[in-house]
Formats: sequence, C-alpha cells, structure tokens
Amino acid sequence: QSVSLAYDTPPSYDVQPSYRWAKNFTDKLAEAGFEVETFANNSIGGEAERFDQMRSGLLNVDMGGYAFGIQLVPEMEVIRLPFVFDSMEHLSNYLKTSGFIDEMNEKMKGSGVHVLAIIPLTGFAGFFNNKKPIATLADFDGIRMRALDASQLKLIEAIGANGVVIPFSEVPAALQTGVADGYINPVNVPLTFGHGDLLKYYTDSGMFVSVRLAMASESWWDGLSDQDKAKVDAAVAYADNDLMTWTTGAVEVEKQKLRDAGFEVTELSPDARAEFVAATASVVDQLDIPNKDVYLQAIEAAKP
Amino acid sequence: MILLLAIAALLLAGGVALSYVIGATAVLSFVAADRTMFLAAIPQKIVAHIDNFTLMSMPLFILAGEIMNRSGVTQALLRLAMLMFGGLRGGLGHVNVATSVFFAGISGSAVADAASLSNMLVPQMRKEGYRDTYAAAITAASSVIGPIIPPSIVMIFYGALMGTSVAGLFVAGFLPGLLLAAALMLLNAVYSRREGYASQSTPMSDKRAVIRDALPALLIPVIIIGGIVFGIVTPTEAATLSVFCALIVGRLYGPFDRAGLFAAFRRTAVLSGSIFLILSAVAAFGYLAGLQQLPTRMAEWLIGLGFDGWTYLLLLNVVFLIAGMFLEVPVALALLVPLLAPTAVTMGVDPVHLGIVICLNLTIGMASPPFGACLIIVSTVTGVGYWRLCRAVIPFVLVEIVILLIVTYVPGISMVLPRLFGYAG
Amino acid sequence: MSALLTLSRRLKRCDDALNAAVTVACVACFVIMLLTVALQILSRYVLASPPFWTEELARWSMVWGGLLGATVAFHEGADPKLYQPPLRRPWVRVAQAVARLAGAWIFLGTVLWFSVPFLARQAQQVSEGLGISPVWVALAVPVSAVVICLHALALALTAPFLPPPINHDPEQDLH
Ligand code: NA
Ligand code: NA
Repeated sequence: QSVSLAYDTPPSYDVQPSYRWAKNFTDKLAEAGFEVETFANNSIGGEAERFDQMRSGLLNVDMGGYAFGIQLVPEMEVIRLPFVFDSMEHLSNYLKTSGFIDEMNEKMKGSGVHVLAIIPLTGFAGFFNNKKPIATLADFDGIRMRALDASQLKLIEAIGANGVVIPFSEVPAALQTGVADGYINPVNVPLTFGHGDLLKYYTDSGMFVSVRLAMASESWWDGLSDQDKAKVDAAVAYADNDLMTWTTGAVEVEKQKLRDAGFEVTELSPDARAEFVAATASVVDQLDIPNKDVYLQAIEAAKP
Repeated sequence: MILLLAIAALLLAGGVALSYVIGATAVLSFVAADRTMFLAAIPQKIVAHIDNFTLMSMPLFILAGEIMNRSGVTQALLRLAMLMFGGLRGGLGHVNVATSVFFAGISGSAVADAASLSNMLVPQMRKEGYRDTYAAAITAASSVIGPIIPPSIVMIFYGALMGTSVAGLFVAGFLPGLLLAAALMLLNAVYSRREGYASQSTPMSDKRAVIRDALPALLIPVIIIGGIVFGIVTPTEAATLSVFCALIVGRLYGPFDRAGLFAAFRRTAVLSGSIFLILSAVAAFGYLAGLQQLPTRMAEWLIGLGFDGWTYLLLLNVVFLIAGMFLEVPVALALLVPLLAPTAVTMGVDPVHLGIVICLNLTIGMASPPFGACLIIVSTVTGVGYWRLCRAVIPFVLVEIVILLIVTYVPGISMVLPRLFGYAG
Repeated sequence: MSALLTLSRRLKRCDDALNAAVTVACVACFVIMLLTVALQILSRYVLASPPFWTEELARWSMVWGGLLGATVAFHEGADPKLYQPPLRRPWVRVAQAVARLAGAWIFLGTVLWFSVPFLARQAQQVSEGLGISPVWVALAVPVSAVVICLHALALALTAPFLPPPINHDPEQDLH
C-alpha cells in the first residue's frame, strides 16, 4: 500500500502541531509497510488547492483548515464554539470517547472526504494586543481586534471590542499603523511570525481551541483493506496521543517565551471568565447548528 | 523531452502567445511524465491563483495609469520636470529621468512608462540634437525606476506569492528608486558634457502656469504614497483612490468622455486578462514541478553547493537578472520566487529586502539586451533600430547593476523606511 | 471560392459580435470591482462597519473580468508573444492560425475537460463572505475557455480567405 500526504506548515517538529502530527503519522505508516510520499508545504498548492486535490483523489491525505469540514458538515462547528471545553484534556477526552469523528464521517459520505483526526493547535486561543492587559470584559472597550473572518468578527463584537477583517499578510502593517490593536491566535503565533515587537499583552482566553484537520481522500480510504485501515487507525491513535502529551507542555513553554520577549501574560480569573462566557452566550444561541444542544450535552458529559 | 521542446519552439515561431505556449507544453509535460490524471487539478489551480485579494491592486493601478495617459495628467508632470531640470546641461536627459520618477509614483509598470515617455520625449530630444540612440537608451533605462518607486505591479506579485506585506515592500522601494534616478542623472551629466548636449529652459512667463497645472497631478502620487506609508489605506484601497483621483484630476486637463473611460476599462481588462492567463499556465507547470518534488530537490541542491547568506544573494541576483532578460516579469516571478526566495529567507534575509532586490533585478533585466521588454517597446515606438538601441543602453545597464549590488549588500537602504514606519522588525 | 469568402466573412462577423458582447461584460465586471472596493473604503472609514461580502464580490468580479478580458486579448492577438511572424503571406497566416488553434485547444481544451468534475466539487462548498457556492466564480474558467476555443476555431477557418485581422500596435503587447 502507498500513501501521499501534503504538509500545511514548514518542517518544524517542535513548534508546529500539525507538522508534528503528520510526521508521526507517516513515520508510523512507513513502519507498518506503507510506501510514503510527502509534499512540502505549498509545493503542490495552497490550502484550497490541496483540499480540492485530496477530494478528487489525486492526493491521499491533506492537512487542512477546519473550515473545510464545517462547509461539508455544519455540525462540526460545535468544537469551535466559545467556552464549551474547560481544558485540553476535556477536548481530548471528548474526541476519544464520543465517537464525534465517526459520526461526522457518516454525514460526510459521498463528499470525497474522510476525516482522520482533529488536530488541536498549541492550547487555547489567546487575546493579543498592544494597548492594555485584558483581565476583564470591560478592558476590551476601545480596542480594535483583527478578525480572521465573518464568524470571528461576531465573536469579537460580542466581547465588546471593535473588529476589522484583515488578511494575515497585512496584519503586521495593520498592527503598526493602528488599523488593528490586536488579534486572537494560538499562543505561539506572534513569535513564530515575527509580530513580537508589535504586540505587548497576552491573555489566555480559555475561549476555544484552534483546530485543524487531517483529511483522507474518501476514494483512497474506501479502497483500503480492513487490515490496512487498522494500520492507519493505529498510526492516527499514535500521532493523536503524542500531540496531546506534547501540547500540554508546549503551552507553558510558549508562555515563558512570551515573558522572555517582554510580553505581559495575564490569566483570566474565574469571575472574569464567567463574564466572557455570558457575553458570548448569545453568539452560541444564534448559531444555527442541527442538534446543537445534543452535542453540547455530550461535550459537557465528557468532562474528565 | 526533446519532442516537447520542439513543439514549444514550433508554437513560439508560429507567433503563439506565451501563455498558450506554456499552457500547452505544461499539459503535454504531464502526459510525458506519466502524471496525466493530475491534470484534473488544473481548473482549481487557475481559480486559486487568480482569486487573490492582494492581486486586486494590479488591475486597479493599470486602470489609474490608463486614465491618466488619456486625460493629460501625464503631460502636466512632464512639463513640471522640464521646468525643474530643463535648465541644466543635458537638460532633456534629466527631464527624462525626473519624469520617470514622477510617473513612477503613479504607474506600477515599467512598460507603461517606457511606452508613454518614448512617445512624448524622444522626438523632442532628437529635435534638440540628442543622438536618437542615446535618447531611446535613457528612456528605456529610466523606465526601470517605475516599478521600484511605489506603486509597483512587480511588488504586488511578489507580495502575493510570498505572503509578504505589499505596503512594506512599497515603503522599502522608495529610497532605492531615488538612488537609481540619481545614478542615471549622473551618467547623463557625464555624457552631456562629452557630447555637448544643450540646456533648454522654460520661458519665465510660463513657469507659474506649469506649476499650477502640475500641482493637481502631483496630488495623486502624494495621496498614493502617503496613504500607504502612513498606513491609512491598504495597497488595494490606494489603487482605488488613485483611480478616482485620476478621474477627478483628469477633468481639469481636458475633455475625457465616456468613450475614453470605456477604452481605459477595456484595456485594463485585456492587460489583466493576459497576465492572468500567464499566471494560470505557469501554475500548471509549477504543479508538475511540485509533484515531481523539484522545489525540494532544487533547494537541497543549492544549499548543498555551500552558498550561504551573501553568496546566495549573489546567485539570486544572477538568476533573476538573466530571467528578467528573457522572461515576462509575471512569468519569472511565478516560476522562480517560490523556488528560490524561501531559501534566502531561511538564511536570514528579510523578505521585504529580498523583494526589493528581486524587483530591481527583474526590471533591470527588462531594460537589458538581448530581449528586454522595455527595449522592444522603446525601439518600436521611436523607430530606433533594435540592436543599435541594445548597444547604446549598455552603459546605463552597467550603472544600474552597480546600484543593484549596492542595494543588495547594504540592506539599510531598503530597510530604513520600513523600519521607521514599522513594516519590518 | 467566392462562396467560401462570403462564408468566412459571415463567420468573422459572428466571432466579432461574440467578442463585442464579452468586451461589454468584462468592462462591467471591472466597474463592479472598482465600485465595490470604493464602497468598502467608504464603509470602513465613514461608517466604521465594513460589510463582509465586499471583499469577496470585488475578488470575484476581478476573476470574471480578467478571464473574460483574456478572451478579448486572444481575439485581438494582444497577449505577449516572443515572436510575431509577418502576416502578409497567406500561408504564414494559416500556419499561425493553426498554431494558435493548437496552443489554445491543447491548453484550454484540457482545462475544459476537467472543469466538469471540478465544478461539481465546488457546488458542494459555501463561500465565506457572500454565503453562496464558489461555483459562481469557478464558472469563469470554463466559460472563458469556451470563448477562446471558439475564437481560435473561427480564426483558423477564416485565415485562408481573410486578410490579417489585427492592426499590430506594439504598445498593446508585452506588458
Ligand atoms: Na511605480
Ligand atoms: Na524615462
């Protein structure tokens, strides 16, 4: 058997969670006797192109954005709703025990995509800005946050900040010139992308975990024998476990890196967190997701 | 392989446009490489390469230039340059360079600059006793300033390919562009002394009228550059503003009717379309290269050669200069930037500085023999024999290469403004 | 012979009419793009609340306008080329028309062939801004490919009988 996989980040095993996952996954498959071919980030195209190649069966496995999954099955959104998970263990436990991915794959049949894994990036998303430390909801007053897309814009407005949608490549210019004062991103983003001098304050929001997807082409998956499917499942489980262990430590390492770079690191108090939960509740309520409450209850039940 | 090259040569000789030669050869290469089924990804590649927010400023800047050429804004700037530099020895030569600088603040394309200035200035220089090869050569050489001083279509492409801030690139190009202009003026002064070229001053009585006429036209580069440098607008927004500025200011200079506007839009569509199709065809080739792991192998090979930092930049200079001599700029960028630039960035070169170096390389290549696009344009518009022009432009190109090396190895020249305005660390 | 000439002229007229219609369409697309970005600036600086569909609408008008513009460029022979053979002799004209037909059909014919499954995949997705299927932008690819292939065919069929259609304006090329 053979497998081809396209990476979505530069090769940095100790910094990029999705690279780490994909490397472990392909290494395990190679051990199990698969012939592995990998494509470096962007070498066969950007996000949308790789996704389309995987769907049409030209590529076996693609590491891609979570939004692709939501486009095919809207229920997948529940993972990204604000304040549904208490901790990384909670998320991990839910993904492992609830059968969520299998259920999504059932709904996805015929779309050309078979989800292998949901890949959490480094910890919960953080609030970064260069105006003031964010300790309470009121601190967001007068702060303009860069939004990734329309749905993040709603979230930003719900917590009382102003929002402006800006493409990632123009973010440094926007931060410098005050078009935006900050953004919501995983803890390692500012230092990885050279925004260290442009931002000063970091707050671990506990709001949601940024996630990505490891997606297999449906035709490739369906063509595997049961024996080979078992080998793939074993490789997925191995890569999942490694990532979860690594992430927990990595968040603390990255927070220390931020302090060393002169950032002020703030943690939300339980009271402040409650404020944010209340403020974002309306966003959750307004979202039109089939069987939303059933999923939310299942997530609640998976608390470790 | 030989068969493929033969087919490509046959199509080229048949006068088939580059995009179709590249596209058809790419399709046949997939078949030859036994990757036929992967052709299924090509339609998606085309959409992905064109449906790009950063690219949008390109057609908008082309449109602004079209409107300005048709409404007389360009001519007002020319008269101002005449007033400022016409009085010096070799005055018209200086005017030629200075007009390119003004023009550069509006137009993003070296070819547009070369075409309009050959039309306006070369006949006048000839009348004043300049050798026609010299007049044509300085016009071609100074058109290189166009894409270095913002706005710049080359930089927009580079920014889109590398995910680098286009605004940062624009700010960075300002000083190298002025340096280039100063060097060309110096060379013109030397030549004019040797050849005894005259000065030509504006009559006193006209001076106020010239300045008054040029002021509204100067407003456009001020708005574009100021807006981008101070972060008030993104490059796409600046391009849109410049279109509206050109429309409003253009009204002051004379009649500009609906037919003229339609023609400006139509030509913008044709030019953008030609560029899009080249991008699409090259994307098909790039995909095959990716499937065959060529970028990875090439990067490994180059790194294996033991180049690092500065010597790698020298290698890049040579590669892109040659590319600029033979290839269309969008083709050269699309083919080579994804292959070569990331390696330089991992070696510690700032992507903004790298962008300026590559942009300078490619545009100098456009004014260099044997196939520089600007030379072809200038030669066709002025009627100066192509190979005579090629000989005459050589001293100018040599001076530009010296400037290129200075800009390459003194990163401060490009980086001081971006650092000042916060576009780089 | 004269019947063929009349037929050629008629075919040429149809082809020109197609081009005229496409020209109007692509100019309209660029006008929409310009106005949409203007609206975006206005709403961001004056009204302080940018509608999130403007960026996508502007991008999509650019894709449509540009790709339709490419068909006009083909019709005019205005795309950049490295070499232009002299078109006075009929056999050179025919040879060029055939070469252009081959280039366009090999490249864009392939694109057309694979566009059908591509559009089917796109139809299942939803765009971020306008919330409609990206098939509406993807459609620009096969539509332009069809128009260019038709132009190429008309050019090849009429080349033996009609003088060169293009006034060769050098400033138009090589941008
Ligand atoms: Na310029
Ligand atoms: Na000039």
